[in-house]
Amino acid sequence: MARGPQPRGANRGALLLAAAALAAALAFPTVASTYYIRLLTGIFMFGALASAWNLIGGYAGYPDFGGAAFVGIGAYTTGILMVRAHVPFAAALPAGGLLAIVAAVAMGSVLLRLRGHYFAIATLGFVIVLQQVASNLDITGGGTGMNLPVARTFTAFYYWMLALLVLAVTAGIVLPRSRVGYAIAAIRENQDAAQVLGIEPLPYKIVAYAASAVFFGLAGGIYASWFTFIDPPTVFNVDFTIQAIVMAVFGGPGTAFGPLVGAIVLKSLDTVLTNISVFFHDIFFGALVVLLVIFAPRGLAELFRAPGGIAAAIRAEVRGQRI
Amino acid sequence: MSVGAQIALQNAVNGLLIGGTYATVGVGFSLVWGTLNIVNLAHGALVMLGAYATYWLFTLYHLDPLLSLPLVGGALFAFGYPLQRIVINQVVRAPFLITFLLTFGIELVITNLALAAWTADIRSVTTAYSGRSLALGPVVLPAVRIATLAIAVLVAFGLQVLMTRTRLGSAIRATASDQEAARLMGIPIAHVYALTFAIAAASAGIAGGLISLSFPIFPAMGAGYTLIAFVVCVLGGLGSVPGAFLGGLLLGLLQTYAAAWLGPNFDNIVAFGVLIAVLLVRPAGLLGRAARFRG
Amino acid sequence: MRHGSRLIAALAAAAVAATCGWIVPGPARGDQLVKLGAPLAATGADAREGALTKQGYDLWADTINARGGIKVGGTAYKVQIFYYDDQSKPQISAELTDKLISQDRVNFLLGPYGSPATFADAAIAEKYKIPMVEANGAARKIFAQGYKFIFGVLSPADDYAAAMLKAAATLSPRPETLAVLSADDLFSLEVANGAQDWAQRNGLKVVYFQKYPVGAADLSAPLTSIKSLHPDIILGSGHLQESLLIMKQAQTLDVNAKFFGFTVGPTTPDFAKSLGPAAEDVFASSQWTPDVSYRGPVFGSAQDYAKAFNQKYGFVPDYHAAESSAGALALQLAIQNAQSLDPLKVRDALAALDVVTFYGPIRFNPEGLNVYKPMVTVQIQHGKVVTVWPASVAAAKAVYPTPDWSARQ
Repeated sequence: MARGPQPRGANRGALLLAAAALAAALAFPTVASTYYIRLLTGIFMFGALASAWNLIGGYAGYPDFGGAAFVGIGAYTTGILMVRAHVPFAAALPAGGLLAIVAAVAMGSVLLRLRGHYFAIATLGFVIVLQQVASNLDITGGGTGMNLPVARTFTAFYYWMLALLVLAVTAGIVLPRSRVGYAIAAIRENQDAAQVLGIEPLPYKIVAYAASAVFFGLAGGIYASWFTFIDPPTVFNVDFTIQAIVMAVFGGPGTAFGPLVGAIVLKSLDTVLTNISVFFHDIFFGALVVLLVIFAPRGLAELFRAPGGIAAAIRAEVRGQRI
Repeated sequence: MSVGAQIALQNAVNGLLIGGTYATVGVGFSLVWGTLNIVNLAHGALVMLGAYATYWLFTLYHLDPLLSLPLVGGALFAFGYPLQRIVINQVVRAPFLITFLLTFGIELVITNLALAAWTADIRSVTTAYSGRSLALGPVVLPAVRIATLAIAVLVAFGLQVLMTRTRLGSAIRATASDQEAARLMGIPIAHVYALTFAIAAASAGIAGGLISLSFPIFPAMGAGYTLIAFVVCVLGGLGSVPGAFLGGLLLGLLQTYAAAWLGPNFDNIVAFGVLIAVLLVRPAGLLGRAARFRG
Repeated sequence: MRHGSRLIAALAAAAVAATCGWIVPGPARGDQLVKLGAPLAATGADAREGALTKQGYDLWADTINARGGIKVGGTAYKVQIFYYDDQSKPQISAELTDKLISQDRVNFLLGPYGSPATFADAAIAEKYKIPMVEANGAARKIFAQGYKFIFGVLSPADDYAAAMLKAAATLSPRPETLAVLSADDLFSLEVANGAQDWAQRNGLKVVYFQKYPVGAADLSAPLTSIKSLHPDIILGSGHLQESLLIMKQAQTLDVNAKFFGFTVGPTTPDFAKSLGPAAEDVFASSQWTPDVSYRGPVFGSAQDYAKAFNQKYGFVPDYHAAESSAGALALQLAIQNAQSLDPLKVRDALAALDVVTFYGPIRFNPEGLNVYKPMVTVQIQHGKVVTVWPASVAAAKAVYPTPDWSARQ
């Protein structure tokens, strides 16, 4: 996991690469077909989700399974404001993010007292409860779901998701290097020791949780307008969280770009597999996850510990150095 | 007896009977979690395999589902042992997320192989006695559910006897409480782990067989039962077989009453609301060991 | 660092694989082809119904192609349908619709199975201005969006309830009380609400109205409550899986009613097969049965269609296949009327379509909904699905009231 100031060289290389990629991404829609635009929008979303999960799961070490709860909160808030109050998307979206933060602080102050498996199952329960709550309320349209106004163009969502991704990855870079980030790292390594040193864990954990939640919530709001139709099982869907976790862990939790790399690789693989055989792609995917976990667990773990993230690890490997 | 009381009584009966199913699903899961410290996301998939095994034995060979339970249990035992020994054992001491990912991948593979082999068609096992029920005064007791509860008691009892009165049980408990000490004492850890997992798989298979009698079965059914296993373990307490049994009954009652009083669309709200409350107030559950995971 | 280099190798392989994902698949097809796209559930909760839908589409395509195809402006175009599995998930369905339009460049779209998927896909069709004719999404909400490119040949959701309740009202002694148990999804809720509305307007007392989570595995509690209320009619609004569950649990809990009715399930072959004698006397509403007396182009009469289907697939079709064939047929007739493959011209031809087919009248109101075709009510008698209402097409009288469980066997 990120530990202290990073070697400058690794940082510059990674940042340059990122800048180039960003420029390419900005120009992409002008040359690509709508299918690829849609595909990339999805990748950006999962890259953002994976990076967001990283804030609570990777840096803080709390395996959160409740991210989907915030996706749903963001989606429905945006939807309800747009449909029932005729609020334009640009204003409804941040409202969704705000509500996600509020929910995260409220639930976090309760749930973050638990650890490990118990925290995981409690956050999972949170998603399931909210899904059923949403299907019982009238304002959400209940089980029938809700239709948002049809957007005029899909390309707008590409840029919204890209912006969200950039923000999420930036948070992943900035947070661990901040004072709050150091405290969170200390809590992750040894919570009791941190407490002895005067760091009161709960507020810091809540910050990490809320930081993660806001991105899930904003992603949910964009998703809702993008897909036009939302219902409780679609947005309060544990799949969002699980995919984010798989991508983050595969790519390297505790690094800034790891989750994004994981999202790109895994989502692309998913597309390839679907093109080969729609029927068997889940089997291949599952087998792939199993093989990766067995044959590269140390590899992933090494990535956990590498200061400077994947870029540094690769460079070190190329130079034959140990990390 | 007033109508209200009759309904309440019938619901209590329904809840306990369905709780028997939940208990059987949960005891194996609790065993693996408590001993190997592995949250087996593929547990529900094993339940599904047991259900299909029962279905095919019944459809192809006309073997009565209740009679085929030992066979199904044996088959899942034989499946679970190498699965643990060869695959899952690789990550037994890895961080939680790694084991989670692994069992998640295994669940994907098993579920989708089943889908490819048996299609998404929904099946059920209907025997001559499927519709029979026993009327006890104002209450109706479906025959199949009674049998399920009886077998759940047997399975839980059997597991408890295994854990407390056999050498294997002592070995399992020793390994669970202190792996290094157990290893120093010459206990073959990998073998013990694999046996534990195989036993849990067998119980999952039996649960699946029982489920096929009462509920529709389809390849994707596993995920729901894994979730149920989670709740049962938390309610009843990790590592305690009687606890898992009671947890199953409790969950059955909770869901049934929630569905009856609030409406069927509140069953998860109540079940998981209680789950979260239990985790906060008494994470050890009804009968579990003192919590090691309070933060 | 062996594990490190293994990781590098894995990453490199993944990168190569990732690049392959971007290669545009498939060569362009020849000119004499009309390409249709259909995202359809082959796996997941709706897999069974999705398979029936596909059979309906395929029967139409084979029939048309055997006759040389669709004639437009002197050229005969063969038909080819591109299918993708949407796994019964609306969001995947929408993605696949996009793929069909922008990558596979289909000319027109055939609808998926299920209201949620149809709803999601309609937005995509609307965006690209590609007409979509659907046959398996009955929710009115789909058509309340002001979309111009979506057309549904099936009767809307609330008709399901009305058909069954109207049939029940003709029976004697006339039922007085109704219990409604509905799945919590777009289509089922519209049906349930439709049932409640009809009941209130026609003097039928609703004594129970509850919804349950989609795919619920246990309904003992609601059935126990229903039992204590002794309703004359128990109406289940859901899909096949849930209908099976309700009947099974009603049997074990000894819940009796004069009239058991379901929206989806009893007409599929699996229902009677799975339940055996417990399926007897169950009512259902149906978009179509082979007993209706309509006839029209391509397929002839309803009986002719049933025979052709049985010949190809080995069983008598239920309405899912028939309505799917009808949807494809409507599209074909519109193309022929427009004498063009231009999406806008075909769209207008669809809006103006007014024809009677083996499936019944096909005509669309301004929203794109076919409100001109009545539904029928069927009942399972001796393990077979029999049309019992309206009297003009009934093949047999309804068996009523349904005997108590204790009196059966």
